[in-house]
This record gives sequence, C-alpha cells and structure tokens, in this order.
Amino acid sequence: MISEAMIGKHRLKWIQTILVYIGFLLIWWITVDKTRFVSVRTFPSLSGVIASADKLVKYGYAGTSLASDVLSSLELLLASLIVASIFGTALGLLMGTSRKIYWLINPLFNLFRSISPIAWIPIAILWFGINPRAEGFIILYAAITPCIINTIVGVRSLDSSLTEYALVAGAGRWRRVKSVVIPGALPSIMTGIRLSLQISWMALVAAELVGSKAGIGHIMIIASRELQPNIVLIGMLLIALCAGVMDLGIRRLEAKFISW
Amino acid sequence: MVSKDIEAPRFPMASSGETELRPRTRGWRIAEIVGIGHLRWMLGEAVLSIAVFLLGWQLMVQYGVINDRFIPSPLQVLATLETLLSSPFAGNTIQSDALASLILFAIAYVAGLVAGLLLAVVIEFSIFGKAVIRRLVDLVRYVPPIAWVPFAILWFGTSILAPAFVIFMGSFSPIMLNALSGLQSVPQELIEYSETTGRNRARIISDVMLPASLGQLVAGMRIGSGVGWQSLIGAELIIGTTGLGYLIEQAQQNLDPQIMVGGMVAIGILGASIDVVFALVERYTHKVGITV
Repeated sequence: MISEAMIGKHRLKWIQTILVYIGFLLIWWITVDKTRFVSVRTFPSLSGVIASADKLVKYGYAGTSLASDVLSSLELLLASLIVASIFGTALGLLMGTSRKIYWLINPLFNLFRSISPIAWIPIAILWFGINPRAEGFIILYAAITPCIINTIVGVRSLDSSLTEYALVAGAGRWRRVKSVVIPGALPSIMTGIRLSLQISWMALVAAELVGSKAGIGHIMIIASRELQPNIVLIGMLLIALCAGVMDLGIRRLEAKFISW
Repeated sequence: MVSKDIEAPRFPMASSGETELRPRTRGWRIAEIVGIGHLRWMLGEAVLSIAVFLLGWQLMVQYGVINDRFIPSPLQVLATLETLLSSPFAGNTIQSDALASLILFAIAYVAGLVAGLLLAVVIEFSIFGKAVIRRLVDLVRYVPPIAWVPFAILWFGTSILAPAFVIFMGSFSPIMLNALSGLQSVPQELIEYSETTGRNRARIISDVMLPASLGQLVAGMRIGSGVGWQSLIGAELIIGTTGLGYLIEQAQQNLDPQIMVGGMVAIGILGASIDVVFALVERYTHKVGITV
C-alpha cells in the first residue's frame, strides 16, 4: 500500500537529512578548524576527529586497542542485560500472578528502586574491586527494574476472560502461565527489555567512567583528563552508534515476535 | 495433566471491578501497580515486609554472617547518619551536602525544563526546527546523559557548571521528547477550531496546545527529574566537589562502607521525595487537565 508519492516523500526526507548533516559538518569545520572560534584544546575539530579516529583504530588508546575496548563494553552490557531480563521477567511473572509474592516483594523492590544504580557504584567497587564484576553488578541492578515493572504491567493488563477460560478448560497453574500469561504479556515484556537496554547503557557508561580498566567509558574519561576532546567525541559517537543499533535490533525483534 | 483444583481464580487480574472507574492509560496502570494508589496498603504489608528484611539484615551482620566491612548493619547506618548530621565528613555535614545537591539539581532541572519546552515548540512549529534541530537532536538521542561528563570536564573544569551541565542534558531530553509527542498528539480538529476563533499562533500554542498536551508534558517532567537526579549523582561521583555523590565517593576513597550506605540512603530518600512530588503533580494534572 505504498504509493509512488510516498516513496518520493521518503526519498526527499533522506536527501534533506544528508544535506542537514553536511551543513552541520561544514559549520563545525568553519567554527573550529578554520577560524578557531573555540579552542581546539577543549572542543573537538573535524580534522582532529578524523586523525584521532585513524590513530585510535591503528594503535588504540590508554594501553588497549579500540576493538577490545568496544568489545569489552558490549560483552559486559549484553551479558548483564540477558541475565537481567531473564531474572526480571521471572520475578515479574511471579509478582504479577501471585498476590502473596507481590505483597512480599514489592515493598522491598520499591525500597531498592529509589536508590539509583549509579549510587551503588562506590560500594560495588568496594565489594568487587575495579573490575568487570562491579560494572556487571551495576548494569544488572539498573536493568532488572524496567523488566520487572513491565512484566507485572503486562500480566496485570491481560484480558481476564482469557485466563478464566484457561482455568475452566482445566489448565494447571504452569500451563496457564506458559500458554496464556506469557504470550499475552510479551509485548509489555519486550518494552521492558528495550527500556532496560537504555538504562543499561547509562549504567555501563557511568560505571566505566568512575572506575574501570577497559571499555568505551574508560577511554573517554582518560581522554578528558589528557585534554583530548577528539577522542571523547569518538567515544560518544561509538556509544550512540552501538546503543542505536541495539535499540533498532530489539525493535525488529519485537515486530517479528509480536506479529499477532 | 488436568488440574483438579477448580477454585476461585487466584489470578489478580480477574478482579478488576473497582479499577474500572479510573482512566485506563498506561501511566495510571503503572502508578496503580507500583503503589502510589495503594497508600493504605503500603502502611500494612509494606511495613511488615520491610521490617522483616531490616531485621534479617541486622541479625546477619550482628552475628557475622556478613562482614560489616562490606555491608554495615541498619543500626550502624543509622548511627553513622546521626554522626554525619553534626560532624562534617570531607568538609561538609550531610545536610549541607544534601542541600548542595538539591540546589544544583533544581537550577539545572529548571534550565533543562525551559530549554526542553522551548525546543519542542520550535521543532513542532517551525520548518527550521523540523528540518535541522530535530535531526541534531536525533543525533545525540542515544547518548546517555552521563556520557557528557568527559566534555563537562573539558569545558567547565571543576566548577559547579560541570555537574550542572550533565543534569541539564539528563533532564532536557526526556522533557523535550515527551513535550514533542504531546504536541503532536493534539488533534488537528482542535487546532483548526481554535484558528476559527481568531487566535494567532502564539495564543493557540499557549491556550490550546500546551494545555491539551499537559499530561504528556508532566509525564516527561517526571521522567526528566528521575534521569536528572541520576545524572546528578553520577556527575558528583566523578567531578563533584560537594554534594551527596561526592560524599559517597569520598567514603569509597576512605573505604568506609557505613558512610557510603548512609549517603546512599540519603540519595534514595531525596530521589524518592522528588519522584513523589512529581507523581502528585501528575495526579493533579490528570484531574484538572483537558482530556482530549
């Protein structure tokens, strides 16, 4: 149902986008590289970013190669996110389907939810030292919250006639959860995982900035201490790129899984 | 595998009689489930559950199951908080740290609010905004606010502006994105109708569109306050010279878990209070706001 006019409009938008970004690069180049309107010591310049990117790819920075830094960040994030979504969804299902468990856990959940994950960074470093386990703990702590909340919301907003029907049809508790509750709550669960992804990035970057031995955030904080604005910008672009691609991926997954 | 127990369904969603009167929006459902509407209930079961947790924690530390060099007991934390009220740690008492954090948060948050609102209006109502600013915003959308800390260090050094900038970035973007989607969700007929009443564009924005998108806007303000508070703690941890984030960072340098947990409790209480204020505002706007 896509008409030719719409394709034309779509293409026009793309051309517009590219033009805007080219214009942006041009203005950036003029204000920083050409006229030195702002100091290149604190502000990234176009030529500087290209040169730094080249160096970064070839030699790495702060003792590690760029690829290993990006990979270590991504690995940590994905591992923590997967664990968080499994446990978060399970806990959410328990809290959503059983009043007793909900009453038991929810007050504590709210208690811990009010302490932001970033405030746990110092004590995580005390517990685990400066290593990926501390960062993983922070990401896990941050990512599990949206999973739990959205799973509960998903379970609670199910059409009650469906579960009643399953009950009448003689399905046991586990059957009901497996074939009625989980499929019904899936859209909400996926939303939770997507929110978790966003929060995970925030937690990961914060943990890496405060104390880490590798990762994109590690590069950025060292670069800012050594007055390397170009490298800081490259770090930010890498984060935006990875986070954006992962978000798109989850959206795709969502659309594929939830086709009904 | 036919289960024999045919009793009343234990599933909570089966009993939805009383909630039917409330608006069935997502925000309300979350508020209901997470517990704002359950104040009475929270005083009963919640107190019990938390009391059991605290008691267990206290006993575990007291009898050495958990080493108090890693996790202090609740009573130790309470005692530490009391000492921190009168004797300064790292240059400040805890209430002056809390005040410093709150003031910084308030100023940067208001700046983020104003900028977010203005930008949302500019993006929605001007061609330049739609074509250019929108795309620049899209560019930095996936950057978590904390990632601005290195630039904040480069641009503002150790001055108070550095953490303020990070909070600003944190609160600004959810406010702007929510305001924008609020403005976009105002029905076209409403705008067309108000055009026929002879209002000019500025009046339409202020009289019709902003009130009509108030719900979304306030939701964005609440999210922005949460992200802003998180960003504040992160920024103070890394570049702070005062504030609660700086307090727990200094406690970490001194390997003092009691002050750390004390600081975390203070951060939690203040964060939750800010959220409760916004939740009340949200509730109020649901009552008075124009529902389209």
